[in-house]
Amino acid sequence: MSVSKGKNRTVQLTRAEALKCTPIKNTEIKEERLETGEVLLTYPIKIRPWAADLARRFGWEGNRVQSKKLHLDELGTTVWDLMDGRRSAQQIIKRFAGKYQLHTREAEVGVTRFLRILGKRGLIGLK
Amino acid sequence: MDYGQTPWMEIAWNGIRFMAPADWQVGTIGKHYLMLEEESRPVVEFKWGKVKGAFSHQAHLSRLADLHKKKLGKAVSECPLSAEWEEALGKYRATGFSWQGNTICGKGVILYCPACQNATLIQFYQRDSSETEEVSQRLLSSFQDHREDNQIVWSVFGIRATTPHTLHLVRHRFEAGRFEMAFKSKEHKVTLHRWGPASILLSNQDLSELAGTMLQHPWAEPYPVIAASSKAVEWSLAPPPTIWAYWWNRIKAKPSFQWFRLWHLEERNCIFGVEIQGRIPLDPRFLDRICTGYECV
Repeated sequence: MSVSKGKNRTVQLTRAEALKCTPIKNTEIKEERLETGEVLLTYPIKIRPWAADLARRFGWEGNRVQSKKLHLDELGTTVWDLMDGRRSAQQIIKRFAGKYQLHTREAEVGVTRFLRILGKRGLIGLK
Repeated sequence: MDYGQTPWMEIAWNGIRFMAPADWQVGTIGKHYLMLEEESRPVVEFKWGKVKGAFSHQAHLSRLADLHKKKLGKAVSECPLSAEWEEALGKYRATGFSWQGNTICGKGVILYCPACQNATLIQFYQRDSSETEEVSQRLLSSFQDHREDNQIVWSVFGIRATTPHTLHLVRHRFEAGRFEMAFKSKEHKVTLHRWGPASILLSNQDLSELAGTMLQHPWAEPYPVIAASSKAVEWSLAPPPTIWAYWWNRIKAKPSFQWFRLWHLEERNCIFGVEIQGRIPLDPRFLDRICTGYECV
């Protein structure tokens, strides 16, 4: 039996496997629709304990959970709206390509890059 | 997959042309390399180049066998071409080969065209050989490595361009929202651009403003606009026709004659651009030919 020490192991997916995954939105995100139709996301970020301790020494008594905002442009908003918890990444790419008349491969590059950014910020997970 | 029902599309790149099922996407693209994928899995690979002097099928096959053994640990062996493949590749000198892996096998052909001295390696990756036999035959029968009219066709990722054979590809870039192919000949530098989606790019600026942001030019002032409409804009720059200017143009590093045109294809939601630079005056027929041959497919 192998025991992993400390760090979580990352699962390496092939491109085909990753495209079959379904992106799921983080339930802790607050979503605000702006007048322009674009989406403003507010998501929590946790301050590392050592940083919180350091801040406390300097007199900061705030909450350890802070929030950040992310303003999505029109293309980002489209992808965000297409993520309904049922559509796979592949289906999102096809719909996105259809809407903007892009080549499927071109849409795949753009959408997957965007999903990766959202994933890194903890705004979505893959099912 | 039933390939009989699937539409087929033309793929053309740096001299080679063939028809392939529309579901097969270009996965990797190099100057003389193409890898097509179906559902993110490789299905066929092309590698080609001009051969100087005599061409040896055996030498190329043994080089390929060494490469396979080193990379994949599989042995490549020469095999006779099927009657269908032989018929499809009648005008080429062809040698067949195959290899067998645990989950996948490969079958391919090394071609040599005596007319244009071009050698091509085509390799099909097969999971179910019966399924791809028919499609490979159709693809091979459509394969061409040169044209009689000295033009080169480029047809990938939904764009199609025709350029004279004197223009050589020096750079290509296919990124989300931005495609670029740059060519060079003795007289000209030609760059083909494609931007998209136009509905987003032109939502708060017009074509002229877009040109300013997309094309970086050393001049602070924009070129005089020759023709402008809501669908197309065009600029050109030419030095005064004096003897002094003529000689100065020939020796200075930066080309003096510049021209570019941008047009908006509303029905395809994209913007095309052609940029041409030269040391000698640009021929309007050459400019028109490049622009006419550049289209969306």
